[in-house]
Amino acid sequence: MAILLLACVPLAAACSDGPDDPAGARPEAGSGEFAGTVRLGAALSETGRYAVEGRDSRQGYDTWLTWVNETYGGIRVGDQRYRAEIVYYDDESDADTAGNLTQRLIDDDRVDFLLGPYSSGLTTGTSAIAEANDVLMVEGNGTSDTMFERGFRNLFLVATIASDYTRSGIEALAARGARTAVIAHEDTSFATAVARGAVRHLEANGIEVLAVETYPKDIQDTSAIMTKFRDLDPDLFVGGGHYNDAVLFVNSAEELGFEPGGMLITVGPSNPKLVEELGDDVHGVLGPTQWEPSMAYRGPYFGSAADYSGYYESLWGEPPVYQAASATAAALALHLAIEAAGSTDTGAVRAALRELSADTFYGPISFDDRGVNVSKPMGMVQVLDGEIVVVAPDGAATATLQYPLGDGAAGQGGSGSSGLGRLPQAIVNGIALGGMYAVLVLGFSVIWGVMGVINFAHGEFVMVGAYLAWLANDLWGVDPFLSVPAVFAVMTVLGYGVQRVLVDRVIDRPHLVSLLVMFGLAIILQNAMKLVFSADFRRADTALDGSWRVTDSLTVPVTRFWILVIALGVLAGLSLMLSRTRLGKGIRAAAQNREAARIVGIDVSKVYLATFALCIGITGAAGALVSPVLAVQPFQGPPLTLKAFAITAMAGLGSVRGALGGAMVLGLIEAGLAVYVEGVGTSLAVVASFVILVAALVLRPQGLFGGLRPVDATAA
Amino acid sequence: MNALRQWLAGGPGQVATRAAAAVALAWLVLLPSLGAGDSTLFTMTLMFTSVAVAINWNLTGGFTGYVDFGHAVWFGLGAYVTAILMSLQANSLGIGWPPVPAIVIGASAAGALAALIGRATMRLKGPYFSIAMLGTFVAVREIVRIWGGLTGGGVGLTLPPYLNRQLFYYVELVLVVGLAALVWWLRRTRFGAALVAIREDELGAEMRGIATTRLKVATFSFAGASTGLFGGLWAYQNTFVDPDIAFTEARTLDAIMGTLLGGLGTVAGPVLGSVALYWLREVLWANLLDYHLVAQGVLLILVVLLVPRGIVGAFDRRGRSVRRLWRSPPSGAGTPAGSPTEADLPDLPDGPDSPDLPDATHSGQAAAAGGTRGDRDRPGPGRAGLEGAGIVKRFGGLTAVDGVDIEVAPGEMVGLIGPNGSGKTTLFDCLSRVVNADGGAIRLDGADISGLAPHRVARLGVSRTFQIIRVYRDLTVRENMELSIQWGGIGLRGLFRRTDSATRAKAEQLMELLMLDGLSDEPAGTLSGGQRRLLEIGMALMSDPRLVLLDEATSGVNPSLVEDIKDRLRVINEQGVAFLLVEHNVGFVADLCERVVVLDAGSKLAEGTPRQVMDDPAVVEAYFGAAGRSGEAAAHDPGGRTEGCET
Repeated sequence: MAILLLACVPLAAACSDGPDDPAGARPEAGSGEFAGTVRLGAALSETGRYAVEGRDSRQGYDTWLTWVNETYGGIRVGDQRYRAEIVYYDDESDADTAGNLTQRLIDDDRVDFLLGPYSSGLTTGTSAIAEANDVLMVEGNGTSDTMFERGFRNLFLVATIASDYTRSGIEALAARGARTAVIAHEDTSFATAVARGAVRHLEANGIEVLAVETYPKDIQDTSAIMTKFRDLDPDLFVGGGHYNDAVLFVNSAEELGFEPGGMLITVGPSNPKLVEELGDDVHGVLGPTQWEPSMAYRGPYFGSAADYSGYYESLWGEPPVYQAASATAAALALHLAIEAAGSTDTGAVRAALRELSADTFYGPISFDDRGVNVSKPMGMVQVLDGEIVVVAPDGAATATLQYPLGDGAAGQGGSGSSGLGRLPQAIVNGIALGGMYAVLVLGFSVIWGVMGVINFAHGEFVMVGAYLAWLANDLWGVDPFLSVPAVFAVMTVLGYGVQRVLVDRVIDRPHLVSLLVMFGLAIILQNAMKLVFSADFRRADTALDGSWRVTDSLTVPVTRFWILVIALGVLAGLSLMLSRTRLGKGIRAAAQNREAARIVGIDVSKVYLATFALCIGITGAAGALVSPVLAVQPFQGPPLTLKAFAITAMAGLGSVRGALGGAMVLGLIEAGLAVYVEGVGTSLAVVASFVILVAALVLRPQGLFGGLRPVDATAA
Repeated sequence: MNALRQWLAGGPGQVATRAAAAVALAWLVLLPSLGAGDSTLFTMTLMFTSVAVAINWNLTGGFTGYVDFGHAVWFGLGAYVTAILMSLQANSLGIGWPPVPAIVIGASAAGALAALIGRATMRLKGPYFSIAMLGTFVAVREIVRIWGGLTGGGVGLTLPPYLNRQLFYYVELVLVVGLAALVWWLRRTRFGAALVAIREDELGAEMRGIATTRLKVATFSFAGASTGLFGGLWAYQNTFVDPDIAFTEARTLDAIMGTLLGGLGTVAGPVLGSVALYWLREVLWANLLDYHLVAQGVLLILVVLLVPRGIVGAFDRRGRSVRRLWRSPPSGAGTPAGSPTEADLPDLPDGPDSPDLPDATHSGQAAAAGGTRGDRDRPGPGRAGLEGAGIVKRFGGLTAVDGVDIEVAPGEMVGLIGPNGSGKTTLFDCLSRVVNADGGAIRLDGADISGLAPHRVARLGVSRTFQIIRVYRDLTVRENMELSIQWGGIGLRGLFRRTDSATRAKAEQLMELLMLDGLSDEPAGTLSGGQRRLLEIGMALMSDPRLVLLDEATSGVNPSLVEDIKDRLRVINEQGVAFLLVEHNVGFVADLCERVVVLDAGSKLAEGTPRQVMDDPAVVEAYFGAAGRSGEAAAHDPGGRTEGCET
């Protein structure tokens, strides 16, 4: 397939160059200097979690497109020049959709070649469809090794493959004397490939790998991993998988006083956002980069990396990130292969791609048998005094690698890495975690206990409160601890509104109705916040940070300590309020027996209104309180809601003391698992609360403790 | 073939609906020949998948009333088992497992695990079940992630690409149409009716002989297997699985939203709703870009609040869609049914004094049960009936029943009376096995039944009514009656049959006897308290019982009707059915029973003829207290109504 149809009579009338031309014959409708069109297609994420990177990739492809048609004069096929066009669809960052759209590009749009989508996940599925239809796909933004172990003939990658991401960095660090390393990586296709490659490169360079830890996607807290690593006292930390993980690692290393000689983080350091977000804390952090404008590459097309950067900026008004450059390079590689083949026949172009050897602004490009570009090394950047500079490989470096950082490279070997030695730290971590859970779960528990409403949007109210604190911190520099009262006030008003507009309508309705309505509200809040703030992890800065070093193997994180203190204060306050004040008594009466409370003259609907507003206030304030510790992001809510459910079902509906007890138990279990189980401890800690939830419900449906209203999970 | 004939028959509205369905089906079959490209077929296949998942979700969430918030776990399990089998061999031998056996095993594994997990989680009700399943979903996904050696961990598994869109299209079309037809048929069988009974009132269904646990777990398991099947097919098509794309919450959410949009608990609802949702998505997706997820949340809230009965409900006024989305949580101080306000029964024509009841209860059972049951396990005359010996039941520190002996001989009518809180209903609950007695033995015809599940007791011919009336409120009077058959004798084949004509005839006769024949198509929830009481008695009689435990048969019933009930009970008793009556209305008991047992504070105070016990000073003392002897006259008045004030 993919036969280029010869040009028909050029039409005089000027038509738009949109992709809506009927499939099949492709007369050139523009200036008339082109003999025809080469049609490319790509599914890219305009919406969903990869929306930003998808846009960068598209700008990268369009940079090539503008250049090839306007500056270069069209693709040369034999003696003729062909105009290039690209058909795009939005894959919504969803694998099914991307696959479907790729099929549509092949069938309905009859594209000659495909360009890759963004991310390894989406490339894996779409490349299988390309392979089955025998259409070539050239890409620069899906680098996971597994994709190239399938023996596909039609998939080509211009970027450095994932397993080689850390290679140049590790080589440079080994040359500077690094001898031991620890690795933590997200358990996803891309990050696992990077980590496996890192192990290989570390060992090849004589660096001992002391530990490898994995953690699940969307992890909220990495302090357990850092606790383990601190005890091993390695020269190097290698880790990551996602931009957001970089935020967490830098934070918890700081919090726990973990200071390796070098931190090499897979994704994040090359992104200026990280420096903006973390400021001084990120000083000295290393990271790989596919490409930087400052690199010393050049080629006959686009000129040097800096020239390309200038051209890109003239088109889009912003400098290119490496995702954009990779996309441009992918399109350029395809372009060069078509010219070398002198044809758009798939077989001929595939052969030309295999033979290709070109120097470009992006670096050298030549493919091995797998279809992977093996001639371009990965670059390494380091954050030095707020600037991102290239420090390796030597050919591309613009500054000198700083290693080791501070005095942390002493490497006297692990201190208290024995099981017992870690116990105090595990208990401290567990109590700190429990304190956070207690204040986070309180509002959920009381609303359920008093009103019988399961607030499925609970975690989203935490998230909104956290964003408010972050916003105050970001805009006016307000310490999140100081903004807690203001956030409480704002969230109380929000709770009042939600109760009036929504909850009041479902309170007497069946459980399914309130569950689904609150679930709908959760979806709205998550996606609305994502539209406003993007899905990037944020962190509020507090003056109460750092850690108290009690012994070598025991530190108390200052922020978490104060969170615990305030959490206990809130719990005590609410407890007093419920037992002493008139409102509190009304709340308890309405929880016990609504009808009876009405009969004795309590305005139950007012009590509900007050309860809901108050609880949302507390919940939002809790979000503000944990905003310096837990990553602030639109999707932080659902795991918190499920944890709240687990703790409440265990500890009794609306029981303040039960919430504290249940939260402490869960906190200690999670911290213990994460610290004591090697390798997958953090993942197990994530599962723990769900297993506890199901087991607690099934084995003891009547609940473990009493509360404002009895739990009976077996009665409808 | 009967099913096909039924399908083709029907009123003009039905004919139009069915014609539309046939046209749609023909269009779907011909679609590939009408020039639809692979991408259209691919889109359609994805739509078939969501329709199938919604149908399966509706089996438990809609029919049975167990709202599963983690249904996508079966999809992911089916996908993973398929992927593991297909890639396992490919790595070591160079040839993958063939897809068909891999997918079949994937589906079976999902079904087996659903049965296992369902047995545990389906003990939970309402939101607890929903959340437990959500927890299961997340836990399974994370376990798949951690168990990297088998599942490839977060990296996932890659399958050999094989992408014949047309083949997939036809395979999934056949499967989804077959699934819809199967559910359509199932809903019309006794099995389907029993599922709805479980949704409406699980304890009542169990008490009337439905093996609720087995049926709901079987349904859950089938739904899991069926969703797992589509998961396996999806994995094969997608050529790649990882924990996050195989286990997505969105799949459960789509199934719930599609079903709600179409009509919860209906056959057509999930199909129409999922298609509508798909179409709606395209519209939202095209015009709202990133806002479409926000819009989806708004849509969910609007559907739940404004059109809770969905598309089907909007067109089908008296249809089968669930009238309320879910049973309301019992409020802290619920008003018990049968309070005086509900007691009025408008002037019903007086039924004949003794309507003939030739086949209704006794000799009719052979015909009703299709002759399979016969009289094998019925007691012969003179054999022992129900016997409770030394029954003890404690609630915490309170001993509600303290070593009571009670027996009811075949054909006998025994009254059980006593002041409030004397333990009458608790004793009933022990005898019918609703609660476990803490001591003593319960025997039926000499055989120990103290370990049997309630539905087993019902199947042995002991049926009961409840102090707080239990009827299936969303079903019509007729459906209520037809659901209360003797489930013991129908066997597996009977379970998958529709209600037979003998059952219908028996229901008609009983409704006539109980003066409900004018109300047979009304939902039971719209009946007055007294009418519901009669319906409940009728339901208890539908199963050809040899013994009926009647709990407060006259409570909340219009006085003019009490005499009628008395007459009807007498007629039925004359045909050999034994009764044990718990009553406040002492006069009612005195008129009907030859023997009365009096309970006080959990112990048997007296036993004998009505006359004897009413003359017993201890009984008078218990009833009226030391100061209440002036009430003796009332107790002596056989026709008098000594209404208890227990409500």
